[in-house]
Amino acid sequence: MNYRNPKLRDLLASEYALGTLHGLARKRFERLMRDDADSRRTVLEWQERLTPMAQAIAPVNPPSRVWRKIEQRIQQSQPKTSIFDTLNFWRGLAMVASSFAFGLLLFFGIAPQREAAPTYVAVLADAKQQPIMMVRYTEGKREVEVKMIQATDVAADRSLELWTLPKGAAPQSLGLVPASGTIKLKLAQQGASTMPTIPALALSLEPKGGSPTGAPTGPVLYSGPLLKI
Amino acid sequence: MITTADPFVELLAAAGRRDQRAFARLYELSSARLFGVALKLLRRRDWAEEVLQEAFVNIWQHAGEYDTSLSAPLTWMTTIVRNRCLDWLRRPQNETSSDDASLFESIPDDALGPLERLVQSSVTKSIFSCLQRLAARERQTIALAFLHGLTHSELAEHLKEPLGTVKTYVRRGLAQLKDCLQS
Repeated sequence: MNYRNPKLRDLLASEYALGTLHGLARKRFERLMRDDADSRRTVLEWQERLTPMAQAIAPVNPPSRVWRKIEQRIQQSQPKTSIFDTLNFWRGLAMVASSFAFGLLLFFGIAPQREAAPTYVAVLADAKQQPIMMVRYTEGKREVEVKMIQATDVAADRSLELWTLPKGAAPQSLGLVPASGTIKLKLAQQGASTMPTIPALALSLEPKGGSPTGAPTGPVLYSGPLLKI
Repeated sequence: MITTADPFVELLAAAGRRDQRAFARLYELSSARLFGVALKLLRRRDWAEEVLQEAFVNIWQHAGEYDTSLSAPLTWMTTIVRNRCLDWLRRPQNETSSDDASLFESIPDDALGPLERLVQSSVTKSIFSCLQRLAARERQTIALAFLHGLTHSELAEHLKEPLGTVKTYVRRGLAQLKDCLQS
């Protein structure tokens, strides 16, 4: 069949919207629609024409259990909405957290050194604002130092991944970090040069080996502002 | 075209921003209508409940991608429900056997009965006044296919006409509807 023929396309689109295109033909047409904007548009036009017919159907109130199930399912799916949706929340928290960050710097003995290159430190805290980990970056270096202040329980099939939260851009992975102890993460040239502009860092729980998508997929466990000291 | 579009547009946009209260309101305003659509197509309450649930989870997940310039919100949501119903009906294990007489007993002979009441409503006037201009057989096949989800062969059986003839009714009816709506 030649789908490029506009007459045939219109016919298929109309029967698709009506529902009479079914079985293999329906599947084939759905595949075609994925790549062909004209088919999609034609179907949308037919749906606009035909769907008002549904108003002839008397409304029937669904039982309340339907909504309860929907509500349950959309709440379960919340973490999948990724860091983007929670970013503002976490940035807000990061600001609050900044006041105790300076105190901690002294506590951990990282007092700023006058002659040294500028250093940036982030103390990442959990939702209860308990400091869990610290990240340090010294300008000019191609690495960040990560120190876990408190160990985190991580399931065997999960990893912890550290992210920068650049202003107005998607989070960038710095790498995987251990549940306890310290680690140095290598930075790419570009990553190193943008470090001083990063307002905050966050740690998310990811599948083993890190996010499969390149963006955070799991819940954010800890976050904190990155401060110049 | 649909005068109730405005609150739905706003609620869908808010749902796209993960506003659960807006989504709950959207459900409140549209679920009875969409449940009616699903019940009519599936003719089984348990299936209709299942499909309604699936469809609303889908609407929640894709609300952020909904584009007002492409389709009216209710059209978009109704299409999601209808497509789910059609998929459901055409799963092999759910296929109602064609000799199941009870299937057709539930379908009134004049499938357009309730439509006529709506002709007065300005909102939906065009589609219904155009449907009324069609010959009876064309009108019947389109209404049965759209509202009850009948396939070509089910239509043929219900109308006791050859398959080819029914296909012609559907095609001719759709073409005439398009012309009428465009004029």
